[in-house]
Amino acid sequence: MKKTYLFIAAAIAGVLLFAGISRKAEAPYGFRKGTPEIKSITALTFGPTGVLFIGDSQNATVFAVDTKDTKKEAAKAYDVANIDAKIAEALGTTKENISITDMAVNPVSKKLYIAVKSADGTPVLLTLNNKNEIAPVSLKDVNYSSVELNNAPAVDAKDQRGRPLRISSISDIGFADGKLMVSGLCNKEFSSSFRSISFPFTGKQEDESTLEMYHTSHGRYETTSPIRTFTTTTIDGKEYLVASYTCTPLVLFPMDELKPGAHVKGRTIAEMGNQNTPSHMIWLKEANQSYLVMANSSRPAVKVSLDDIKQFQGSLTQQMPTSGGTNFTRLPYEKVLELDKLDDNRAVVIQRKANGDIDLWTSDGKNI
Amino acid sequence: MAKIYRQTPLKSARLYTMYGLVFFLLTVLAACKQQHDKKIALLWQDDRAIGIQIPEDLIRDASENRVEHSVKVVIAGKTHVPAILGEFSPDGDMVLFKPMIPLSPGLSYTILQDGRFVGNVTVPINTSQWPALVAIYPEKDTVPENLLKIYLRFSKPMRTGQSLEHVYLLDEHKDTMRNVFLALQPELWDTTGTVLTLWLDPGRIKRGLVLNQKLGNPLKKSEHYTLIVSDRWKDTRGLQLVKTYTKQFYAGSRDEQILDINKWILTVPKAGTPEPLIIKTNAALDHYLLQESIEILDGVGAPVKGNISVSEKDQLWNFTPAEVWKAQNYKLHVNARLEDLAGNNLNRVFDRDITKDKQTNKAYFDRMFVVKDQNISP
Repeated sequence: MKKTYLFIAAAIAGVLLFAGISRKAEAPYGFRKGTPEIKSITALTFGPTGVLFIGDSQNATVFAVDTKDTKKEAAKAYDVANIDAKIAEALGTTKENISITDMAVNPVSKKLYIAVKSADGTPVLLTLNNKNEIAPVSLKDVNYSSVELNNAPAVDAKDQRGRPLRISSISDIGFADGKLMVSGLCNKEFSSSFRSISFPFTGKQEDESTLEMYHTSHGRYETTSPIRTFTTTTIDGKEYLVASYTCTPLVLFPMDELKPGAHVKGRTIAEMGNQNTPSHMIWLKEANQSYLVMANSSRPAVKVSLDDIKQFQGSLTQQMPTSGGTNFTRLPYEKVLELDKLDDNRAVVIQRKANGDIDLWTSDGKNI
Repeated sequence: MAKIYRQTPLKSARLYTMYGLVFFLLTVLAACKQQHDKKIALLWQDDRAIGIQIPEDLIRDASENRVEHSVKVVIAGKTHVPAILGEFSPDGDMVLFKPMIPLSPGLSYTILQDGRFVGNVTVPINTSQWPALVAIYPEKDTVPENLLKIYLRFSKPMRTGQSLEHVYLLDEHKDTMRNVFLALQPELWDTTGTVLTLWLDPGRIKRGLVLNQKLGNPLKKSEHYTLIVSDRWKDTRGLQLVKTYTKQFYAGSRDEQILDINKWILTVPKAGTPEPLIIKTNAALDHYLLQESIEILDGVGAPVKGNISVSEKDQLWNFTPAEVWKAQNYKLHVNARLEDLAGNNLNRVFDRDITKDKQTNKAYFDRMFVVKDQNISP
């Protein structure tokens, strides 16, 4: 009898022992291991150390992927002329058959991540190391999680044949203070959506916020214009979302009010000119001053000093046919297609040159 | 002569044996040669060349590790550039190379091992079914001058990000109109990649805005326009549209009313019948929103199952119930985001100032209707 107990005890001890040995370290941020089904990569931004957020407009989903690219490295300048042709060559095609959809610098490793779409729609994620070498990023068997952005399913689910599904196209994503922010627009109604989503993702759908602002180019208050690009900043100890729209007003929204379902009123602080779409915003330092640098589709890139933004106390509520509000400086860079911060002073830029070439370069700490 | 005749069977037997041997040898040789002749081939999926199959015997040491480090695929004529990014894997008696993106039609590729030429392969230009533009919405020939959007529906997923290079609007003088459509990246394609939403620049449609004053409304009342979708547009397989499509339309008056479901004309069927309920909406509405924004609720508020279709160029909504109608009160339950062709919905007009213009903020609008027994006259 005693022997039986001993055997049972030994067996239990054995199970516990092996259970202890075989227990895998849990993936952080609620990640699971697998291959995310990414249909498109339309926006990239880095979150906590090594976590890359991938905005997938076609899936109306944002994926958070552990890149394991967490080794701290010093920033070196990137410089690749004809970057589109180089990428095309690495992918076995010609530049007409690819487009660069976004770019992000890993703030820890300083490695550059570039999202590319091939002509057949296949999304590709590449990196550029500090020797300007292109390498693929495998998204097979990675630790990841995701959040869906569609919370407006069709009313009638009885007969879905032939109906295109509603999409929430992603115009920009950003990460600050444990929140992933996503701005976008819909393919059926002309409407803007903005979500602030807690990370790690909880799996719970969070409602959009309605953002109201005075559109200085349109000369009226609006809620439906979609935010095209945004960033965040601190003014007098308070966090703000800095957003820009087509035609190009610059608006501040208090971050603490951006809660799911909330209606938030913004303060329009500058108008930078119509018939233009802003594409990217970053903060850089120059002579110990912080500047907001913004890339534009049809106008030169601009910079605005944080001090000027702080000093502009008012809110623009008058139509502005050209430009006005907070002072800004036009930079000698047109057709900046992609822009991200390399370090405090320098930016990585992808620019279409006057001769049509697309070059990747790094700024020298002055002007951009 | 007789001698010869006698010798023939013997000679023939020898000849046959010789032929037999030659045939056997040739067969063996051919069989052996066939193995060596196994050619470099393309692996296809959905009309795309997604890989290159390289016979193992063309490669020295086809072990996975060795192949990965010694074999590279490059665009033909570019032997000194880095290898095309992709993965090698064993595939029967072949080695499969899968690039990150499908190989491009019309391009040739060279396979090298440690600098040694292994072989070439060319991706043929695809000649399967060309894509077509299946529908343009709105279907009506007369549209409001403040038309907000156009949907293009294709038979195959199209190349994205280049719609404005292939879609033009011509004015009455056949001049191409500039800055008519809102340039968006990423473009607004549905999840199947076959339906594109194009907005006529809202900044120009809203009256009083700078762009509206400077450039005018994209469309002007009483004028004719031609929408052109060029056959240069390729689908995701690299095939061009089967032809250039044109649609002519005429700009009518502005639509500037909030949609009112109480103005819709209902044809209500009798109880006990499976006849369709027909709604006449007074004006053409958004093709896709019309199909997904209306449902029928029964007397206790439960959704009624059935089939929805739209007709008469998006002016009629037809609902055929799965079961016969009962004699009771039903409700039309309409999502407020349903829009007309100018973007006006059930809550507000599109062209408005949110601080001045009238608007409601309801998610749904309901309207009751009564289904009566057949023997009760209306």
